[in-house]
Amino acid sequence: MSDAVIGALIFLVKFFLLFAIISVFVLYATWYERKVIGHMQQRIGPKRVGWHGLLQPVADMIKAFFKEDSIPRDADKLFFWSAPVIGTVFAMMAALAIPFGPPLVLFGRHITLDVVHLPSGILYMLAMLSLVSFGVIFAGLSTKSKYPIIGAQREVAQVISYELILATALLNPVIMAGSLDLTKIVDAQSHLWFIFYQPVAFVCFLISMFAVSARVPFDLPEAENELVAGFMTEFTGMKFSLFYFAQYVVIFTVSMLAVIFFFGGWLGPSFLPPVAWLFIKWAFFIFLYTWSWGTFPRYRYDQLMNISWLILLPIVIINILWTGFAIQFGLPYLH
Amino acid sequence: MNSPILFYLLAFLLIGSSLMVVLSKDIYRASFWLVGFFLFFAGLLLTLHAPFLALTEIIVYSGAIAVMIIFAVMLTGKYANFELSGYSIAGVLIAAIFIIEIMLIIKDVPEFKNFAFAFASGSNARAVGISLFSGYLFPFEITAILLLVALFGAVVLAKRRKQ
Repeated sequence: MSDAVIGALIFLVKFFLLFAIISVFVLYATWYERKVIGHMQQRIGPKRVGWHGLLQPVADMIKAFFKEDSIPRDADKLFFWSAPVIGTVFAMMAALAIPFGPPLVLFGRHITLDVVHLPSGILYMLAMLSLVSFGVIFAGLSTKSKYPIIGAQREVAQVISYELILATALLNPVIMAGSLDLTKIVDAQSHLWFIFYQPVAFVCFLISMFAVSARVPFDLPEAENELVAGFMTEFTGMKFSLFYFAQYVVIFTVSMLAVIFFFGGWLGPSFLPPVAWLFIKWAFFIFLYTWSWGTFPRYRYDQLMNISWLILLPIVIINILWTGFAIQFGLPYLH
Repeated sequence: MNSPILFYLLAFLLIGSSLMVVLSKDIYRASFWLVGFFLFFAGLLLTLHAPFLALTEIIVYSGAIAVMIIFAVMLTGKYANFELSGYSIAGVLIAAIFIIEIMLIIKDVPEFKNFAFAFASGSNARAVGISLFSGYLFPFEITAILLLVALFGAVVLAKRRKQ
């Protein structure tokens, strides 16, 4: 077999592995969240379908498949069909660049553990994440209905202002590592994780992480008591589930980003394989999402915008200036 | 990555989507095609071995500017349906003059001829950064100040309306 064929085969295998991981995660994230939220609220959560409700996601999926597919009369059909797909495709494309471990050497071949390896991987992921919001915009516009349009407006304004914070907060680790390559950023943390150098940037990243994926306490786009279900109101069945899929893929991706940029990625004591360390740290962030869901009340819309533009943005910019200063003048920094 | 088939495919898609931006009657559809245009343009930059430019192009143009345009239209809701106005001939004329100008410039400046190879070596982001902050520092800073002035202007206009 020629080199190109083997390369293509490796790519396909990695792609399907990633797809399988994400699909299983999305399926069981719903079950896990309902269970955890249930126990936080002194309930049991799903229990009837399968052992401790383990087959509940499968039942939900079957239900979503056979739901009646309704399209509003005045809807723009092109957008209405493409909106859920756009969101999901771009969220998946962002996930393609996640490295799940250090590069492997198998049968004399150098295999990176991300589906696409780019020298500026973080830029690629941010670009794809910023395109996810188009699914939401087109969903809101296509239905020509009030609640989806308001929900879409809110989500877009929110995601844009917080993606700025997300990107600029990630700039601090990038400056410290001196590279946009995700693998090199992890390698740069072999002495000490970046969370200890950049606690302020991490807090900014954490807040914007919740906002970008539109989860509690920043889930205004789908504030049930004001907007029915936000931009998803008119969508049923599989289209509705695709929006959830996209949202969970974004959660998966930004949690991975948090681990890679601030918690040393796959670095850890050698009694567990690197991939295991990555997923253990990542699971903590997934739990954090559920934890905040069970704990925090929702912010008001103007509060949300003020937090982003008046508080977080100045802090992050000062932090970047400080990081550049500290590195240029060699302030105490283990390297 | 530099095959002519890819270039012609991307060029065809680029021209097609930009035509759709102008010709579609529904402004939201026009914005949809605009996003497509930005993406295909990023693809074209990728074939020129400039991934950094391509990705920043996606982040800035499709991720922020196109969204802002859609957002502005959404909030005003005034131009939801529009027809091509009588200015189209003037627009075509201006576009033609602009294209001729650009072609003349490209002919004279030797740097444009091997644009593809300027970025091919080493880290893309580093190459862009070094050339921005060594060769083009003054224009870069001036552009930044210009954008800042525009930002202040927008704020002043928005504030005045409220009173």
